[in-house]
Amino acid sequence: MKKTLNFSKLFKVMIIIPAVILVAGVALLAILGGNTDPAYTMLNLGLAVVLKTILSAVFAAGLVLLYFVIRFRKQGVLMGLCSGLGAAVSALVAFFLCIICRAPLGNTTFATALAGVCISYATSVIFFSRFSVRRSRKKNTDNTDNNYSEASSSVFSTMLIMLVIVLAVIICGFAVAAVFSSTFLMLYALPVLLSAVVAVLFTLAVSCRMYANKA
Amino acid sequence: MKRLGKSISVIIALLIIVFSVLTVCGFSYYKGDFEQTVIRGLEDVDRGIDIGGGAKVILGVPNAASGDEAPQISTDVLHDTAQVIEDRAAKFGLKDYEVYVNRAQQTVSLVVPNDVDCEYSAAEVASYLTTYGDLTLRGGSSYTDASIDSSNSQKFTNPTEDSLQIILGTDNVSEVQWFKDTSEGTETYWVSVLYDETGLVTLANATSPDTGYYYGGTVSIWLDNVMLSMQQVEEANTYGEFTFTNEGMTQQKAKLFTAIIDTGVLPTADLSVVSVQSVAPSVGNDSGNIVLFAGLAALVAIAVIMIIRYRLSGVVSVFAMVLQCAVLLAFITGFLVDGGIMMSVAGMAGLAVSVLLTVFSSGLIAEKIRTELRHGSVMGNAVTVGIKDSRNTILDMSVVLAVISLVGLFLFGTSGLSIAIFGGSVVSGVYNFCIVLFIGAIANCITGYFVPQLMLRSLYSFSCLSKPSLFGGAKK
Repeated sequence: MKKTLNFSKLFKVMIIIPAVILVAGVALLAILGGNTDPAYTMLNLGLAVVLKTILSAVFAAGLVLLYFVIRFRKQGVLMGLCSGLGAAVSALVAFFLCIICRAPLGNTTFATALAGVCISYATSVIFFSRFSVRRSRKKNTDNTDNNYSEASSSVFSTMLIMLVIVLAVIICGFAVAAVFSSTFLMLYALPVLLSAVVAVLFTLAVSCRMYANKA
Repeated sequence: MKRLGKSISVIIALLIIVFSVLTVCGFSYYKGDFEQTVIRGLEDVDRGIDIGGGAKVILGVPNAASGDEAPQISTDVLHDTAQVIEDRAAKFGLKDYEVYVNRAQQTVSLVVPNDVDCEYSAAEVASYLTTYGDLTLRGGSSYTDASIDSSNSQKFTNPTEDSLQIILGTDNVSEVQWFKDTSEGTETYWVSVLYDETGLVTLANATSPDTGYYYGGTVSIWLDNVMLSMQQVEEANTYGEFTFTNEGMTQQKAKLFTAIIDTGVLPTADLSVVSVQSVAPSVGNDSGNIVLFAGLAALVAIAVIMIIRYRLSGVVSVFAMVLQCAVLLAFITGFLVDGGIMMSVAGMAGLAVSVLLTVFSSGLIAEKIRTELRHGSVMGNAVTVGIKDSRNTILDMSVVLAVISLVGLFLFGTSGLSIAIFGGSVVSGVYNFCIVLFIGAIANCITGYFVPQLMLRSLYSFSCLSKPSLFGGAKK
C-alpha cells in the first residue's frame, strides 16, 4: 500500500516550527541586531519601508480575499483568510530565517519573503481546488478528514516534485556562487530553501487544515 | 477534447526555439560605423547596483573633518535632503538606487547603478541628482571653465562678468516640463520653465525692445554653477516661459534636468559633494557569469527532473518553461523597443518564481495525466481530464500572484500613488521583483496552460507517442 504523509498529525509540528523560527529570529535580532544594509538604517526611510510592507500585505490579502469571494462565493471568505494566514506566516518565517542565517537585510530579504508568500498562495490555491473537487464529486460534505487527507496528500505529491525542483535550483545557485566566491548569494541559499519548505508544509498542514475543518 | 494536428506541436516547438534564441542573442547590424540594434538580447540587460555595481556620491560639509567652523546639519535637514534626492531619482525614473543618511558623519549618500539609462555616466547622474538645484536665469553668458562631460558634450561652468547678474531665480519657477520637437525633421529635446506672475513681469521687462536691458543681447540659464543653455534675445518674452535646449540635449538629459528643477533646491546649501566612489556589485565581481551559469544550471536541473518524472509531458513542461524565460527576458530587455527594466537580484528572484509558476502549472497538467493513466484511463481521456481539471487552478494561481505583485508595484514602485503617499521609492528591488512577477503571472496563462495543452493534444496524435508509459503511466 502506498504510504502518504499524514498532514493531520503535522498540525502541531507545523505550528511549533514557525514559532521556534520566529522566536529565535526575534531573539537574535534583539541580541545581535540585523545584518542590515546601510540603506535601511535610517529612521524615517526605515519607517516608510515598514509602512509600505504592512500596507501592501493588507492590500494584497484583501484583494486576494475579494478574488476568492468572486470566484468561490461564500467559501471564498474562509479561503482568503486561511490562505492569508499561510502567506503571512511564510513571509515572517522567510524574513526571520534571513536574520538567523545572517543574510544581509535589504531588497533581497523582501524578495525572499515575497517568494515565500507566492509559494504559500500557490499551495493554497491548488489545495482549495483539489478539496472542492473531491467534496463535490463525493457529495459527502461530512467526511472532512477523508477529503482533507486525500486533497492534502494529492497536493503534497505535486508540491514534493516542486520542492525537489526548488532544492535543485538552489543547489545549482549555491554551487555556482561557491565557484565564483559570491558569499552574498550563498548566504541567501539556505533561507530561501527552508522558507519554501516551511511555506508548503505550514500552508498544507495548518491553514488548509483550518479551512477544511470550517468549510 | 479534440486531438490537434501533428504539425501543431512541431510548429509551436520551433517558434519557441526561434523566439528564445532571438531574446537571448538579440539582433543587430552595422550601418556605417554605427551598430543598429533591432532586437535587444541578453547583453543589453541593464543591471542594477547589486549585479552591475554603481557610483556613490557622498554629500557632506566640506570642512567637517578639520572641524574649522563647520556648520552643524540637523538630523531633520539630513533626512529632508535625502527625501528631495529620492524624489528627484523617482521623477527621473531611476528603477534602482539607494539613498542613505549617516547622522554621525552628517552625510547623505546616493548610489546610482553603472547601467543607468542616460548618456551621462553613473557618477555624473548621481552628482546632478545631489546638486543644490538652484536654477538661475542670468544676463550674458560668460563662464570661466569649459570642459567635456561624460557624455562627450561641452560643459561650461562658473559664471563670471555679465553672467553674474541674475534675472530670475528658483523662487519664481512655477512649473517645469520637457518635450520633444520634431518640426524641423530631427528630434530635439527641450526643457520648458514656466515662471510665476512676478517672474513673467520681470522677464517681460528684461527682454522688452523698449526698456529691456537684455534685448539684442544674450541670456543664459544655469543649474548651480553649470550653464545649461544660452540664447540670443530677439523678441520680448511676454509669456513667462523660458524654453531651452543645447547641442547635447537628449531625452534622458531633459528628463534629468526636469526632475531636478521640479523638486526644487535641497533644504541646505551647506552640503556639497565631498566624495565620489565606485561601488562593487554585491553579487561578486564576476556577476554576469554568476547569474548566467546559475540560471543555466537551474534550467537544466528542472528539465532533467521534469523529464524523468513526467517523460513526454515533462518535455512539454520544459518547452513551456523556456517560453516563459524568453517572454520575461524579452520584457526585461525591452526586445524591440529601447526600454526594459533594470535587473537586480530581487528581480532575478521574481524571474525564478515566475518560471517556477510555469513549471508548477505545466506540472499540474502532467501530474493529473500521470495519475489518470495510472488509474487506467485511456490516453485521450487522461489528456482531456488533465487539461480540464488543471485549467481553473492555473488561472487562480496566476490571478492571485498577479494581484500580489500589482499591490507591490503600486506601493514600492515609482507610481504616482507611491510618491503621493511616501515621497520617493526606497525599495526598488521589491519593485523589480513585483514587475517581473506580474508579467510572469499574466504570461503564465499562455505559457503554463495554453501552450502545454496545445502541445499535449497534438503530441498524442502521433501513434508512436501515444503510449501511456511515455506520459508517466504504467508500462502495462
